Amino acid sequence: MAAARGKNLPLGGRTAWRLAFVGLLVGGLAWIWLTRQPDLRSGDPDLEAPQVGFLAPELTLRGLDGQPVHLADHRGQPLVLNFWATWCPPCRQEMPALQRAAREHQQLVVLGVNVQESPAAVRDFLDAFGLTFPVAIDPDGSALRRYRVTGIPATFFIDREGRIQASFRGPLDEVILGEKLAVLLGP
Amino acid sequence: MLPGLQVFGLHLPTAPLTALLGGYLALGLASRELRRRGLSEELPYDAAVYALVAALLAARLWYVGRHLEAYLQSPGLIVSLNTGTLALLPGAAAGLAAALALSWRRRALSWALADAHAPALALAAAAVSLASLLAGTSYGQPSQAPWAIELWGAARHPTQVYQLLLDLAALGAAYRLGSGWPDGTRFLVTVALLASGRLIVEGFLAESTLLSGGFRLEQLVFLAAGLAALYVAGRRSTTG
Repeated sequence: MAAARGKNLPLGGRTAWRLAFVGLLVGGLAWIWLTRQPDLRSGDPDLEAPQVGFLAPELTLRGLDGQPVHLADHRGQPLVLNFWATWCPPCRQEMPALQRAAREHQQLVVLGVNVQESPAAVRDFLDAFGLTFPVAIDPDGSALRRYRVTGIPATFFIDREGRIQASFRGPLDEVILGEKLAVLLGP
Repeated sequence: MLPGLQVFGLHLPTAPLTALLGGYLALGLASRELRRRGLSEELPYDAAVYALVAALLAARLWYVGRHLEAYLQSPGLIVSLNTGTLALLPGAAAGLAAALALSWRRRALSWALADAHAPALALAAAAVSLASLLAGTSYGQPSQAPWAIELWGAARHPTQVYQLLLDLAALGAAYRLGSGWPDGTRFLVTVALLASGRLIVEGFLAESTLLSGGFRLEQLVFLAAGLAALYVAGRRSTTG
């Protein structure tokens, strides 16, 4: 053991370790103080951000018929906003759960946002899977960027006031969807 | 940012693949270090398998336990491949415990073993930072710095690059701390450097878990981890 303790920090022994410890403690606390963030949620209730507690960023999409679809049109209704694509297996996996939720909760709007595919391809997919909830297209990926979605599927649960109550990255199943809808719709 | 690649109609998510590749390289590095020290070079691979199985089981069971009523209605979902229904922290804890248990059972659990894993730990951390850069996660606050990068509709601090550089610096330090130090120093100093790096970079992030007063929870956790590592390293170096 003595041989193992033969080397130490440049200043030598206990003092150097203490200096390193105190340096990290003081420097770390100072940095934490300097880089603290004002809590935006309490500071500005009207701030739009794709995060829980913030107003859902407004989107203008294209419906399958080419008509514009605005997120704001659904204000006053609880909304499930789901980003997906036909080539994405986890997206396909979660579709039955979304369809069931749309059918079982009459007051709920499920809005699918297809990412950069043709209306014809999307229509074929909806027909094949028997999906009846509305789907709009994000033709240039701008909605994806607006919601900072790095991977699909991604889903946002937006309340009647347009505030994001929950979000989920990855494929939803009955359990997750039920849990998130309970947050959105109440027990 | 390059979150995915389309190869022959197949979507390849670059971030998880990078993290997996980094993990594999880290295992190889740990194995090489162990061989150099005359320890079992198979241990990291065996431990990784144990850790993976334990982590997946614990992560799913924890999640099922939290939502038992729903799973009782759809028991088939317990074995679903959905990665969204995994409780990450309990899974990570179980994985670590399984790896430690295997090392203990093989009478290999020691500070020398931890030292051999120090460069691998830094390399794995660097791979995760690179994966973040590819996926565009852990992104920075808007910035007017000349080196700011365009991400999510704004010029931002390239926090993933900061993190990657600091992780690589920790990797360099792990190699610089050669022989002659008490066992455990290399590992603990590497942990302290990685934690300090995260403490610094967290201050530039656009999104953090905020506590009252605007303090960032992650910074406090990393500060505590760095201090604990330095404290133990100092104690081991200066006491018998």
